[in-house]
Amino acid sequence: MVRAVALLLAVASLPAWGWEVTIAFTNDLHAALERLPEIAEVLEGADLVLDAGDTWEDLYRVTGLREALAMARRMGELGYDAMVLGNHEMYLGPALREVIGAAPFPVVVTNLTGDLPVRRWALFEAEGKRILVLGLLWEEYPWPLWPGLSLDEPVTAVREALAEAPPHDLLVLLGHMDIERAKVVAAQVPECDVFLLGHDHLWLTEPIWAAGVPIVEAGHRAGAVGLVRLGDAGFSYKLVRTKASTRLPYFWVPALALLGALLLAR
Amino acid sequence: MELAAFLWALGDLPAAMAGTGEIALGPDPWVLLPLGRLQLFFSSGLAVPRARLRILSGPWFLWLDLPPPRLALGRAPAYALVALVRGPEGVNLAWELPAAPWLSVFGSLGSELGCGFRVRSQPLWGEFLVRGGELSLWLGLSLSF
Repeated sequence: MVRAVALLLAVASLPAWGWEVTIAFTNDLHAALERLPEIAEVLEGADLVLDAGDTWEDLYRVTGLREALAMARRMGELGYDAMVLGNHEMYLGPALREVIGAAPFPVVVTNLTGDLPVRRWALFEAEGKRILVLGLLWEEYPWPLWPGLSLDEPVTAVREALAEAPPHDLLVLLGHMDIERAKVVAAQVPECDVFLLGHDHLWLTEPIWAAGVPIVEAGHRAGAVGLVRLGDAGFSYKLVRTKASTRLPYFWVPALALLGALLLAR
Repeated sequence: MELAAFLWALGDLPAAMAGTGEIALGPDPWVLLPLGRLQLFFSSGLAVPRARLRILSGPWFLWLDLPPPRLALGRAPAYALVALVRGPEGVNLAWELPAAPWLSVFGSLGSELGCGFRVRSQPLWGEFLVRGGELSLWLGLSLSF
């Protein structure tokens, strides 16, 4: 009896089993379909795979609906769990509805009002933790030009969503906006565990902290994957570069072509 | 081209691309009625309504107007909407650029020249148009179905 009590006390005094959730994320893929195989391996081991927007369209290559649909399908095969829209998705016009419909994962935009099949949040479970993902888009253009679509102020939208969202253990913000705006949002949502960001194409090897919230961004065009680990041991982040990051970026091609044309014209 | 028909054909790219409806009050009031891929345009200055068939709805936009026959190819590159329009009046480049979330400038270059700016507070908008040296003012309501 004494032994049993002693054993129970010993077990009770042990620390709880450690937990760790791994989130892999990309941003600003810009329809880089041919580069997706290079990130597949990094995404494989993650509990959650997310994308922070500007994913389905590349203005430099004037990609279209076919590329956008192919990207959405391939991302589903790679295990993406959710994404937020970026400004480039809006360049697809009303055809964006078709791409969102074809994506085998939820598209989350918490602060969008209008006729698009997006969700205000997505809830996932990993390692026994409930992870709430909110998506934020904060870019003024070209939404005012599209009738029937508008963007709400992000922090207000987050507060409203959190008031209605199911209980959760971790809060992930998936945002598409510039870094200064992200800092403003993060500072007003200090309960956020990590802010995964896209738009500026930043190759952040260390997080940028705003009011205790880590903001991370992983380059562009599948040149890197961000790996975030949340657990009882705290937060950690790693930028994993791929072979694609060493290649000539797409936008240099039209820039060089324009330069060449200007030289020839002279 | 009549004033309202000019705005419909070359100065209303958001409604053309998004396929939405509109009610506009001005020198020549009009109603734009969306019926799926079809838009019907009624104006006090027109004896018969005009129709627009939206063939492609993004990222390349293609629409056909009848009558008269007019074909437009558009795109929403970055922060602008642009369309190359071929009709009986010739070839035109219709464009709209936002200067702020509540303000955009728009116009037409080519055989039909015009320029204006539009102020928005969704779903309402007001616009000033200068065409042929004359200024006209319009008030509109965007309709999304």
